[in-house]
Amino acid sequence: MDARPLFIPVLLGTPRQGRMSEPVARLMVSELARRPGIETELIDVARIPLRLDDAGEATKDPTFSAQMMRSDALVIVSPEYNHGYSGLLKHALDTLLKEYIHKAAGIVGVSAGPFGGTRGIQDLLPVLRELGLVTIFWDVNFSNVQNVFDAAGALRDQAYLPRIDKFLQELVWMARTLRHGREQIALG
Amino acid sequence: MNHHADKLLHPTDPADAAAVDRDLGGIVEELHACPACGASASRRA
Repeated sequence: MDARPLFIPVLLGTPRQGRMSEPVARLMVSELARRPGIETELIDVARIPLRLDDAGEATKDPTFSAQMMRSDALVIVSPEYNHGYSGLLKHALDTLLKEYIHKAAGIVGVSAGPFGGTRGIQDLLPVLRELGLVTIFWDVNFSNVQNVFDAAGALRDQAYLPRIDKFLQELVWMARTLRHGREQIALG
Repeated sequence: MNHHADKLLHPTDPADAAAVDRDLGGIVEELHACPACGASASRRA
């Protein structure tokens, strides 16, 4: 088996002040970092220099581009805003394209209500498909997220960990499989 | 056989209720494939 580590960053998909998606993203980074053969880092959409007077690949940030070019998979922490995903997340995702092709993606939904960001996840799937990302069939859904972490950002409910484990297990499998495909299997 | 996936199922049969993993919210089905012939098989975890 290929001994090279996989690079799987976590994209925190909202800049909102007081965002509860941040402890979610940090938890995902922590769980990824514990897994052997995985390198990870947090990519905060609030810190990607994004233009508001232009959009698309012409506005790509070289650091974000390099991170995604290096990546084998992506975890997207996507809070649900008004039954959809964050506009800034979409704006950031739209700045790249070739960096994503045939790479794995998993979505972590976040909501203040009971549905764990499911509506936002469902809305985001066709976007990721068009960007060439291959989505996995596991999600993680953080419902009523304001009650999930303590004041220090530590997880209160350990029941999330088995779900995260299954999600990452599938994401890592897909990441390895697609890396093999990108490097070894020609199109046509 | 190569165990290549765990798929979460959400059964509707009341008889399956006891098998549902409370933390995962469903029943895990293991998916396997034969590396020699490609045949697929599955079983509950």
